[in-house]
Amino acid sequence: MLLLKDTPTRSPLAPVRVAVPAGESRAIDVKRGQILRIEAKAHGAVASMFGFSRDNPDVFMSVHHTRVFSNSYVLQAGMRIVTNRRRAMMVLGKDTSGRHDLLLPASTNAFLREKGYAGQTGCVESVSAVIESCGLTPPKLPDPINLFMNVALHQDGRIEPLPNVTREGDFIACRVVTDAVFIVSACCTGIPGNDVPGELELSAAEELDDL
Amino acid sequence: MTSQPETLIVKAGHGRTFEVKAGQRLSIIDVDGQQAADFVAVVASNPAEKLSPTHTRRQLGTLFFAVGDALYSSLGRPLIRVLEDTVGIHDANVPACDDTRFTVDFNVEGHRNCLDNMHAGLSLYGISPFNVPEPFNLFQNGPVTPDGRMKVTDPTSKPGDFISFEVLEDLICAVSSCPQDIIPGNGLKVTDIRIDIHPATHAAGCDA
Repeated sequence: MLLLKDTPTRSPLAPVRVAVPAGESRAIDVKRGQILRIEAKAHGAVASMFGFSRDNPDVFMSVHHTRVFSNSYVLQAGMRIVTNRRRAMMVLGKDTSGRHDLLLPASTNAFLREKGYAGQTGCVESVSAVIESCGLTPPKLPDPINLFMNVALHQDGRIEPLPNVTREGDFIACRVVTDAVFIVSACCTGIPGNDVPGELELSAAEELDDL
Repeated sequence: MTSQPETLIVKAGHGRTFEVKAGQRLSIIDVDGQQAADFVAVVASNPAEKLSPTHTRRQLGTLFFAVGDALYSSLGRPLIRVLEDTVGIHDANVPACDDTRFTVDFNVEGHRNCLDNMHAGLSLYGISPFNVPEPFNLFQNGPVTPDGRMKVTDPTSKPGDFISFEVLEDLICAVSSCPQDIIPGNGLKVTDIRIDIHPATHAAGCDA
């Protein structure tokens, strides 16, 4: 819960945990004031994250506006993750990984097939199905924030995929400041070195200590 | 290549929407220098497929692009190819300025903005404000700092600098002369952008 001067308008909620199997995507509802935690449950896991406002179907997490809000090509602790309307959704408050991508798109079935990942489900198709099952109606599928993806950005602009160094137990935690649904995908990204799906755990609670 | 191009002037801080055909050559000219031109395109036969900086980055393995590179769609297909570039510095990172750029970030209501400039024409094709593609910001300069941040700075373009593309597919395009007149980006002086559309020649477009 946020430390507000006035009496809270809602009661504290019990912690919620959602397992994301490797190669699949899941949603988690998070209320304003809660902590969202995303943990790698396997070495080398990548978490492609999307977020949607519960109040307005036209408002969603925007990786592009997030970069420019902080004038940064890379995600760093303390940065606000903002919507397409340039308002904070949450802040990256804890980060044991420090390696995330804000530049690359979600995979599709066709892209994975073309790159030789036969039988893998595309992040776009997987997340689109979850969006529909949640009853969300975004105007489009936004580009993701690729948590735990290890991609170096060089000063000459080169984007160099590196071997993923995520350890089991690595996590990020964010204080969420707007009611939202987050959809997180553990699908194959098709990005070299970061292309072996690993299980993830999503959790939401009033305080970090509850998780 | 002696036939006259069709020329459009994008007035300072305004936008234009136009169609180009496969095989044509599209030139975007910074008339007075130091002026960013937001550029977006969707496929004429399927406006849900759009020119995508995000997919272009994945394909090219770089934030920036060079002569000879194609720019790619949200379905990973090449839509245009860079033929000539007298500047060599463009941005494919910054979303179009919109009303919130000015109200939230700069405390200004009612400012002209690139999203509205581009949406005005694209709306006639049934494209909603949310489906205006992420732009390529031609002539805009966003260098990468050693710690991965983006430097906010003016373009290096001089009067008459231009970039030319070979059009690989029929497209609906929009260009905005960025009306940002508060932060570095247009030299604090917003100016015109010119668009030249050169007719297809028998050699172009078919065997690129």
